[in-house]
Amino acid sequence: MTEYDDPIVSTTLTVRGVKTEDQVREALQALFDIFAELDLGQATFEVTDADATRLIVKHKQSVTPDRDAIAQVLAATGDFRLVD
Amino acid sequence: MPPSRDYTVEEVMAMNPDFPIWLRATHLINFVLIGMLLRSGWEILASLPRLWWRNDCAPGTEWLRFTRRKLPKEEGVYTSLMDEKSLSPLIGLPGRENIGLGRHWHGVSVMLWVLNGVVYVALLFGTGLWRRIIPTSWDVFPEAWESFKMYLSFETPGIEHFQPYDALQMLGYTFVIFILAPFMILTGIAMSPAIRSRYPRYVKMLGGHQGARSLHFIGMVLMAGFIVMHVGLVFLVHREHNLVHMVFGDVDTARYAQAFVIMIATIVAVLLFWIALSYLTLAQRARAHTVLVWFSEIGRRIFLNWLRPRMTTQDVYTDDDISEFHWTNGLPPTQEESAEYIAARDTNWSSYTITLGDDTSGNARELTLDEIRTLPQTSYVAIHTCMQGWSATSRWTGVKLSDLLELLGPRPKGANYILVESYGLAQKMVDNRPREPFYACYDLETAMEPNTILAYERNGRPLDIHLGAPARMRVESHHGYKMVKWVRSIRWVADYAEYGDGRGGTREDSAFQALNGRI
Repeated sequence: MTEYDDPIVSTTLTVRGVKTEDQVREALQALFDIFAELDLGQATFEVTDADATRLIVKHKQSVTPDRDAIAQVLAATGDFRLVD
Repeated sequence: MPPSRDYTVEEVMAMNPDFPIWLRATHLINFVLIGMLLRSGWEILASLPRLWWRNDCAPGTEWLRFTRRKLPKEEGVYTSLMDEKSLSPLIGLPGRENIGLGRHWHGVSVMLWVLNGVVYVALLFGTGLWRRIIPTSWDVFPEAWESFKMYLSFETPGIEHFQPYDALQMLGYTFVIFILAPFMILTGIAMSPAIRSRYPRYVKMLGGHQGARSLHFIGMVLMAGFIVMHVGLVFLVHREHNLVHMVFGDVDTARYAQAFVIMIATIVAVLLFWIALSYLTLAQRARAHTVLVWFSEIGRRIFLNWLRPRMTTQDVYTDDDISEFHWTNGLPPTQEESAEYIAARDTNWSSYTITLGDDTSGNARELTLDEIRTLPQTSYVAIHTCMQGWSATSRWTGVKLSDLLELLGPRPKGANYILVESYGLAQKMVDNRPREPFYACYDLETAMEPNTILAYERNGRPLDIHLGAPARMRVESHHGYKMVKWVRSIRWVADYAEYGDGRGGTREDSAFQALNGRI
């Protein structure tokens, strides 16, 4: 399949506990350790005044992000919780 | 100087070989700077902890890596920032994934290191002290071999062998000062896009960007190994003489205890200084960026800014050099980022437009891909290098930015920079706020270079989506962070400081890179 048939899309998740620069870095380092196995390609945390932080994950359209694996690695890294 | 065996211990002690203040000062400065160079170099390496000998950086083909992280073999499904590792500020300068600031520290340190080295070598030859470092007889090799065997058997050569340096030291110092240090400089500058796009033969001679990078790493290992051995031997072999030489410039060992205390205190102070630099930089990243870029820009102005790329006329890199694999940084825009872009993609780019504008007057016009294709075409083979370290060679085809800008007429009065914006959003903002469109600014000299183009083909085919389809910037004198993919607009602006965080581009804002990406 070409990039046109199976384009890059994004999935937005919600995470609690990731607010500071250090927490974002720690969470991303942990996520990037497993991203290749999960067929995921890019992650961005968007921190706002809201309690929860948005985690935008980019991947091919044919891939469904493994939320359990993401939740597990986040929880193992710090007091981070995938809530949505 | 005659061979050491002609001297007695008393004669050697009576010589007072003289360690003048300039020698001790340049040695201490070198110690401080080499630590800054090593630590900032490790910060850069941590950003892409893999090394290759190839003309691309396909995952799994590296000859050395310092990460267990796996990467997909498929192109365009991951971003190179995924490979970045975080170093402790105790090790890296500054540490914690700050390659931009690490690169600036490396640049500032190397400028001072080279300056210090030039002063040292000039005085070395000016005072005649070179004679005690550079061997002038072939006897140095068998004598060095004897010393080497003695060290291997955990024995120490007698003090009479040191006048003031023994044969092994002479060989070691000559190698480090006159071979290894220049080698580090030559392989380091080979990784500059400005050098490569002007002197491609030089870079290819070193094995291309990856060859230069790997050789630079090997040089670093040799340098670090030398430092460990050198410092170790200072304290293990006749330290009562060495420390007095280094601290007081004399041979009177009666002051050994005093010299020892001063030496230890100095080493501790330098270690604390190195670590303090990291934490101060991390505490004031924006301010550190301003100061470090200001300083390192002096070097870019003197050595790089006047170099104009000549990829169109060079014949060193040809289609035979095209890489099999091309990394990317940042994945294509999605529906959430730009519905307009996705709609254009789904119509095979028939609805795709680029806004050509002038922010100083508000003038603007839309250009379709077909209109862009009617402009004079330029094509060349070039090497893309990311400031992280990966590279790939491709043939790029498109239209010169200068030709595009002419469609708007002469340069508007008061317009000093070009700002190019993407349909895609930044991968990361400096404060992790919601993402904003990716952008980059160019000064006039960069914008008007013949190899600053809006590319719409790669290797004779329309661009891949992950590499910027349908149109992206190529700025061959700069690193990849200046080359906006998925271009939405190209505009004259008065001052880049009025956009984003004011540093001249998304990677300048978020990763503290320099506006000038020539090295």
